[in-house]
Amino acid sequence: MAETLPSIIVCERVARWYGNVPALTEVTMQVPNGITGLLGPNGAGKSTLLRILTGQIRPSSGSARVLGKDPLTDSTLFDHLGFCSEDDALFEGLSARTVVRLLARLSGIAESEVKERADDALARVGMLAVADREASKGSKGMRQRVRIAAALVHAPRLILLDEPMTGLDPVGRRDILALLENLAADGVHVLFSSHILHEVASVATHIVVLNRGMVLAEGALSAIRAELADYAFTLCVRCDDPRRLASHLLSAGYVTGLRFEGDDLLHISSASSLRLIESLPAAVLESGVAVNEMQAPGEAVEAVFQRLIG
Amino acid sequence: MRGRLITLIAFGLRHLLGARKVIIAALLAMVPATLALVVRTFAPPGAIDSFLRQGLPSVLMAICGLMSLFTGSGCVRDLVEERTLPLLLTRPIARARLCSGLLLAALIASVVFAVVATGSAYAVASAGDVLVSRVPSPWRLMFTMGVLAALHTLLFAVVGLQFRRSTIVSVVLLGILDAGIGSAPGPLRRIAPTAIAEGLLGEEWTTRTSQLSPRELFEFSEQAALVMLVAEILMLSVWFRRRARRMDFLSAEVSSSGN
Repeated sequence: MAETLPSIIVCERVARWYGNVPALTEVTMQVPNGITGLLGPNGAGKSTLLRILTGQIRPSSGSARVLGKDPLTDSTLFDHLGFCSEDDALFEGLSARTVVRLLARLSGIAESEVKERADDALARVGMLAVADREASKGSKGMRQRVRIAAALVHAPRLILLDEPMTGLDPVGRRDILALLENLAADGVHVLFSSHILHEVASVATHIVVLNRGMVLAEGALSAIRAELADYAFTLCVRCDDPRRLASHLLSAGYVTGLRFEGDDLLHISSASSLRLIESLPAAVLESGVAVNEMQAPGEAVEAVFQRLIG
Repeated sequence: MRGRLITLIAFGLRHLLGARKVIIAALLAMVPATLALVVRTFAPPGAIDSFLRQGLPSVLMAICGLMSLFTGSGCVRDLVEERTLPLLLTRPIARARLCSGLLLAALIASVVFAVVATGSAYAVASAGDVLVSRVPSPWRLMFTMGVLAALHTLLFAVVGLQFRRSTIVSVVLLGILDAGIGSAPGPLRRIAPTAIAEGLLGEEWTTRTSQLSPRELFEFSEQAALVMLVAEILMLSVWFRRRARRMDFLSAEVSSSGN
């Protein structure tokens, strides 16, 4: 269980206000080893939390410790911490290689090792071949990779990434997810934020769900799902007569919506996943329709997420 | 740690010199020499002597203030606005040291601009045999303009950490301090960087202000100017360091992202 693992990040009642607007409301959480996904819709407070964890802004109240250190006052934390922010800005006029080398030097890497370490980091994100291009004028995906390389160049123990998949094409997203898994395999702890649920679920061993500045759930995805066994759910059924099946479902109290798509597809929405899954076979038998395919398009994690953020 | 500071200064210089603002600063640096060329070409004989002795220090003071405005106010603030500062902030280097490295780069740029502007103007004005009287050597003028540029840069760097619209605030401050308080008689004018520069220039060089107002109202010995200079540098350095150590100057930028 997550609670038994040593925590690399500990937040105690962390709150942050921008004027009268609360961005974070008493966030208390512990992030264990491995890959942790910080999940939440836009405006949930993910970036604010990551900025507090990297000491860029101070919390209005509460405290945060990263690898046992205060990110606001202890700059030695950054010997072991890499950060890739959501902003995709890079220094103008500098090549990707120069940017990574500059940041390697500022990280205290010996001059004799700078070139090698920078090239290693660039190779790790697949940027070595184009490392001499001006980084700030590259595509969003290229800039993102350069910033991830810069976050990795000093071989940190922990890396925080704010929406690292933003702006990447599907192949790029897959590469970054694979990179995160490789980092974890090498013993690097990862905390990354995302609003794309299946990406988080595909690599994260621990998930923190954040919405409106509050932690709604924290733990392994399976544990969160177990806590919310009965959640809102949508099922797609491909059958020979969706209207007949729909007429049998209309009387069921647990069905909250029916939508037809084409001649053979029926989307069934229910407030209760358990009741829908239990009752659907009987409804299919009663209606006498032939079912060809059934699938939950949003995946369980989507339903859990929607259920959590209410 | 020294290696990181040198890296920061080199980066700061490269960043400053790569910015569009530097073109304006470079053009400003050419203004005194251009004026000198115009005077020696078109004005009657002897006019270049009085320009060199009296007009040039005033022009240089104004130009140094404006050039420092471009280098000082943006040395940290530009990185905040470009949103690239987090790349530097998340390195194992104390924030005060980080900002100090960027400030040192701005100071070097400002002093170089001031010395180039002064030296080139003096060279253009005094080249050949156009001067009809003896004029002071340029070294004190160059030194004073370098000091004035450094003081202005430090002042505007503090403004850059303190305010979001740092260029506008710096222009207003420059107007109030140098054109307003610095030109008015009375003891208060001693806080103005231009008044300090006048004191450091001594009797050899004359500025527009020192001609227009009764001397006894704002007499400023070299020693007093030096004391005021050191006091202002110390005060501004402490202020800069305190602002650099606090992170709240980023908050306004962060809140605009809405997350």
